[in-house]
Amino acid sequence: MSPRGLTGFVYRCYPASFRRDFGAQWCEVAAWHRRNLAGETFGRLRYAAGLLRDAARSLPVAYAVAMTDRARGVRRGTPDALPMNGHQPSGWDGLSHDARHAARSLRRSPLFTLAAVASLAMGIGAGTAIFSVVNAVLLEPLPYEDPARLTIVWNEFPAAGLARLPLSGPEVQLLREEPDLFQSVGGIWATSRSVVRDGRPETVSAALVTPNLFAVLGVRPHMGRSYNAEASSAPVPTGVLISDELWRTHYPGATELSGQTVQLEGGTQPILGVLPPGFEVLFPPDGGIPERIDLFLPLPWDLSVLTPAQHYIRVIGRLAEGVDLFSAQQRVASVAQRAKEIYTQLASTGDQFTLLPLHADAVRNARPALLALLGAVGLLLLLASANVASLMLARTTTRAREMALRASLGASRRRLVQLLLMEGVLLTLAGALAGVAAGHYAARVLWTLRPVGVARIDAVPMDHRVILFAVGAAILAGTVFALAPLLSMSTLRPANALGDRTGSASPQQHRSRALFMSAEVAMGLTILVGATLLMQTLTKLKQADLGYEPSGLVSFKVALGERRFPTDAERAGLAAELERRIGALPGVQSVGAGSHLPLKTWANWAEPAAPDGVPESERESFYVDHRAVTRRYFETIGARIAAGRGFAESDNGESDAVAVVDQAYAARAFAGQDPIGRRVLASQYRNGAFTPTWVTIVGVIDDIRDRSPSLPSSGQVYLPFAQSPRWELTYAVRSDRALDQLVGDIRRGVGLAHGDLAAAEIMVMDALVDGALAPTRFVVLLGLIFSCLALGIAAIGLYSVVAYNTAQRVREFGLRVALGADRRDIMRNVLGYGVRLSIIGILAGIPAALMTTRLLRSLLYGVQPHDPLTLAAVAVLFVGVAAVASLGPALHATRIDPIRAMQ
Amino acid sequence: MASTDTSTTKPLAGTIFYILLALADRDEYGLGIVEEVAHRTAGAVRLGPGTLYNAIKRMLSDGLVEEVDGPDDPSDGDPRRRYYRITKPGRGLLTDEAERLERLVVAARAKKVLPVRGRS
Repeated sequence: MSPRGLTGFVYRCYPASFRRDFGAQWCEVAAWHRRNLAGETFGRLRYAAGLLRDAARSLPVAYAVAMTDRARGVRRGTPDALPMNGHQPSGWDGLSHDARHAARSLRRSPLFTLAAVASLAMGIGAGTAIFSVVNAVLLEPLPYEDPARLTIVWNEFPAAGLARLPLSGPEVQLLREEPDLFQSVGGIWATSRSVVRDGRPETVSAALVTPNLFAVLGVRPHMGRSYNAEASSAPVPTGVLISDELWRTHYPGATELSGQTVQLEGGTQPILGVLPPGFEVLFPPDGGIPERIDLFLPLPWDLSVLTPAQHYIRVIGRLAEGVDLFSAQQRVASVAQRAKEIYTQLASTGDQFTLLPLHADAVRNARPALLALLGAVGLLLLLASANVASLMLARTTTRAREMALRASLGASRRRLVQLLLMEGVLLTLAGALAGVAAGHYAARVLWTLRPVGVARIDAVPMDHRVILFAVGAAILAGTVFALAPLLSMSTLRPANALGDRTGSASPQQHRSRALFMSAEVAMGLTILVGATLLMQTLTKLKQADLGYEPSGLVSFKVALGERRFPTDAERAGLAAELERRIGALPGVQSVGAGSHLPLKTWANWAEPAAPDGVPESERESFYVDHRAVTRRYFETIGARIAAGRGFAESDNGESDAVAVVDQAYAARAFAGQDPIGRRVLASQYRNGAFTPTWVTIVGVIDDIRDRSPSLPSSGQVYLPFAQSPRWELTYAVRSDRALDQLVGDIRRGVGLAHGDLAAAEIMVMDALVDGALAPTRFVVLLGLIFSCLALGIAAIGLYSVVAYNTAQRVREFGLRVALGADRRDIMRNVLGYGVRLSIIGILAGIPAALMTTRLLRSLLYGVQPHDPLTLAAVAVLFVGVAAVASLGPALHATRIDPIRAMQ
Repeated sequence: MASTDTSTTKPLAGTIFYILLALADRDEYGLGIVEEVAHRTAGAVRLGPGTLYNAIKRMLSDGLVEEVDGPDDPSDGDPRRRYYRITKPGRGLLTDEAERLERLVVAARAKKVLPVRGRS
């Protein structure tokens, strides 16, 4: 507040430089004189006379000094000399001069500079880190030849509500025969095989592949060769390909491939080639192809010899040159149509093909989360920019007098804007450099934390796209907060600013600051609401009823090779013997086994299992995974029998064929009627082939979430293993002993059951559930980090704005105290300001948050995107943060000494 | 300082002498100086704000005083206050001027303008 009346008039007669250097103190002394004379006769008159006399004596000197100083350009206590309009340095010199000047100016406000650079570094750093991951997963091409032309084809059975199913052999063959659509079509099916090493069997992850699969991917073995591309006279080629890892562990020291063989149960196969180190068949996590496959065995050349209703082949097709995705999608649809015409048993399924780019499909699970994170990055970046903008705005207001002085000394407005922009450029550069460095490091940490299935690429590259992103982010941030000084400059009136000894902000600047602040709160709110919803999702998923009890279960896999154990009775007997041996181990409460356990996705074999009474033409629409389980399986995993019974010892190869179904299947197949005693035409695995057999339902179990903790069962039919003895079993062991104590016992027990058997993939069941939750947990972790950054930046912003506002109102508060206001009122007033800002931000943020969380829908489980409780909780949290951030300035305001404040 | 050399021969302007004297035994800010001078002169000399700060400005550029940080006690002051301290040349000048004044007083006594000390 500038002095009024005569004092003010005299005050404003002094040159600007004088007022800048001594203004406050001049006023202090003038006020003292006035007080001193106030009680005396003609006090006021004498004060006025003295003031005028003093002015008459000192004004000429003051102006003379100001002019000399201006001519000299440098003066103690003045701002750094700024080149005057008209003879300012131009070009590079001008730039470097401005840069030096701006750097000095920033150095003089270390706190401001630190806060601004830190805000930017946080925003740009988080952005670079996330973008590096997004780049590695979504943008980096797959490690195959010309990967853009690689596609996946899935089957859909709309009638059964099933999607993303594999194709049958004949269907793949039809795709191959479609002219000019694919250059080549390959297929793969994952399984496991027992490999003998040093006389001991070992179960390894294996896959049956079409002989041309490696040619389709454009991958050549780094030793030896692949299968010949063309069919030969033999229906199935001979020889296997192995992974580099298997080569190194099983053939240590070997340098020559020729003559090397793999001893599989029931036969020895020559090794044709060793695949390059790190080779993977990249597939979506729900695709049924494990990350690591050590052994590749051939499928027949001609896939039309396979059974049309057995859908198990995962298809990778390389589009022919010049075929675009859209027309390819149209044409695979017509191939599906033809498949239904040729193989009439497929007609009822409504069998449809979906063609997707391999890359997009392989990362489809990670994509929504990564895009959500990228969105959060954008918000955080804007938040950081808004914060710097609001800091700069506060600073330019306090510097209004400096700017006005410069203006009055002849610097053009353009020049001043240039100077402020240069400060912005320097801040951005510093923030961007710090951010990129921190972000690159953070990206590497994130990469080590990433869950399996988010992506299967080895490293996060720091490539041109990441650099471009960082530069883009910096430019965006710089542009946003460069607006702040421009806004304040446009309201700068040198005369006002110089006349005002406190350098207070104009209402417009108040408004801009409040605007930036509310925007910050709004963006922070959006990030926090998103993160909170994801956190609730994780909690709900952990609490979700899986239909069984994974904790306390240890699982392992045993391959029961059909060549080694060719008869059904042998395999069923082995399963029983294994169950007996393992069950007798100390500390083991229960043992059961299934063809594959819940959440183990890649042993799946889809076959129809239609209920009695469904016309033959519609049977194909009841597709289920083939699941054969042993007697104590349900009891061991903790599944609940809802009706009827589980399997018994008496359900063996000779007795009546029986089945247990889950509630979802019962509901779909029997629509509310009692399923017990009804029949289902299910595929039993008998004598080496899947054979449709009428089985009687003896029990119903509660649904088991076997695909994902968040997906309900699509309907399952369970057959007794004794009546459908498949080629492999996964055991579940319930025990009170820890995994490491059990491992040795399990290996020994399996070896004792039969010398040719080996346990593989021994792990705790919780690990499977954990693995299934890992992507969500990863996103939640990132969301939490973002929330902390957002809250931190917003708190810094709120604090600085409230503190600044308080500093501006020192005199008002002093006056209030002098007039008898309670200090608590002052405190309430300041706190109220901060809280009001946050509430404006929250009100603005709620619609934004609602719009954003809609995009998160696919990531959420058990919580609505518009969950009002979450919104309310986050809003309250923000008000709390605002109150805490305002507490410091509020306490400061209560300590204002009214006398000093008003002088 | 060139000005200090010449100042020994020239009478020092009253305002500057008063300010230097006020700063002789402690750092002061503007109003503090005014109060000190008023107190010392029993209210006869009341430095006007413009005069005071023109003088301080001149003294700052001549190196007679320097600006220093205020007292640490935050209760004792508006942060905008600037405190000044007498410099070595300033003290020299003050001493010179005091001696010059003393010589004048001695001379005045000799001419019986002033009563001889001790009798009053």
